[in-house]
Amino acid sequence: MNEHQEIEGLANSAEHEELVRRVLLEEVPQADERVHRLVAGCPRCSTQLKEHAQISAMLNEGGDLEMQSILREALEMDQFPGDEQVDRVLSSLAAGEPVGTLGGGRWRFRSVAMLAAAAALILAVVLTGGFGEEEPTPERATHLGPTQEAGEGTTSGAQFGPQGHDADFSRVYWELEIPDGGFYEVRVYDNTAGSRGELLITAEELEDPEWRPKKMEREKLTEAVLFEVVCFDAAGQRLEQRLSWPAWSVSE
Amino acid sequence: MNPMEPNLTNTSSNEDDLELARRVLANETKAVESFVMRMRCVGSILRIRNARFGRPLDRAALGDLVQDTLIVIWRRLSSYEGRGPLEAWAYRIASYELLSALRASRRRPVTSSEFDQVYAIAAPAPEPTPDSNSSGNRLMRHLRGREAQIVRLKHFEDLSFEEIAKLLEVAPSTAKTHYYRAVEKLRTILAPLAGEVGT
Repeated sequence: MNEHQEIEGLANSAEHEELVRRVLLEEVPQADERVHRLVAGCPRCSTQLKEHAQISAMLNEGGDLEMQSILREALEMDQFPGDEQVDRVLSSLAAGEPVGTLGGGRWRFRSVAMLAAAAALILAVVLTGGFGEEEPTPERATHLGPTQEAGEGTTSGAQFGPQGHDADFSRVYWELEIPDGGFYEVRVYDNTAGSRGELLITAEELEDPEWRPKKMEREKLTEAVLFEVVCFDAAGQRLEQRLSWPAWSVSE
Repeated sequence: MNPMEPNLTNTSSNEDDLELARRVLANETKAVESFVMRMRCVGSILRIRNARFGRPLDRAALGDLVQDTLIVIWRRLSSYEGRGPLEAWAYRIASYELLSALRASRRRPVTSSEFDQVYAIAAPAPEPTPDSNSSGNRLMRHLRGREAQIVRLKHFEDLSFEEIAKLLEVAPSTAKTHYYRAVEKLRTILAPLAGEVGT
């Protein structure tokens, strides 16, 4: 028995049902003239459309409640795990810096500063013959030594180290100003080809702009590393200034 | 609603957030700082959702996902229309990215039962959550398998049929067919449930 009413332009029940289906699947908007005629002219289809809308509303409510529940939980957290990561990613994106490929959620950025520093480092190597024409393909992890002064156009005109061909690597230093009571943190990441940027060392709460690694720490260094210096104020809030640069060892 | 609670699903007007997004796109420093603060919830959202799914992603993968999600959020910021708070908008993006990551982590088509397992559709949540007894969730209990997945992805994750199809590696028409069947099934059982869900 055909329970559908005849409507101009919608000759049979199959057309009614197809239109109802397309409305549910959002292929035809509710505001479509044919839908108005269907609602006005066919009680069965009108009821079906209302029930679909009711079901959608209930399901949407379920989704909204779930979202609210999770968002509240997220917003009420006293400490947001990974805040630094969020800050770093978005700040870099806002600054138009490219996103790199180091993975693992630990260090995935090659900032402009870092690239500039890398370029300066390579230039210095070429000029001083420190590495000669040798590729940085370390056979032994003898880690670096003399300091390097960044050339014009690199990060903040900062000096940083170490760089070079020296087994007596014992000091990393930088020039970044911080407020009284502030402190630095040095992080060293694995930067060898194919690595995921694993954090190797963290040296925390350094009052002076230098880090003197202990023997045990030096032994943790891989052939190629990425140094990062992060600054904090006296209250422990991370500051905008940061510096990062790659370094690598060479075989002797 | 408790007036002290944030209105996270306000669909009327979010002019302030829309203005913030415009200022961020104009690269205003203060606006970017504010936006960064607001988006700090993204990491927590992904961690909470991953935990609710039974932690299918390890810490490293989750860290990668947070970054990837933030990149998507940044790239899509110009499409934010202010139809909800920024956090709710980011939540939807984060959800899709999480589901995509779950699929990618499998590196092969995910069967219905596997996806159910990950997505906690077939099994009840290990711990009751404040939203688990909503009328929508109660309706969901009448659905199984692909139909349940698709309805949930449509209404709980707010995905389009194209996004659902991509996620489940089926044709959009297949996703629509399952969805229509599911809604029709719910319609046939709605009458007996009317008293229950209406309360």
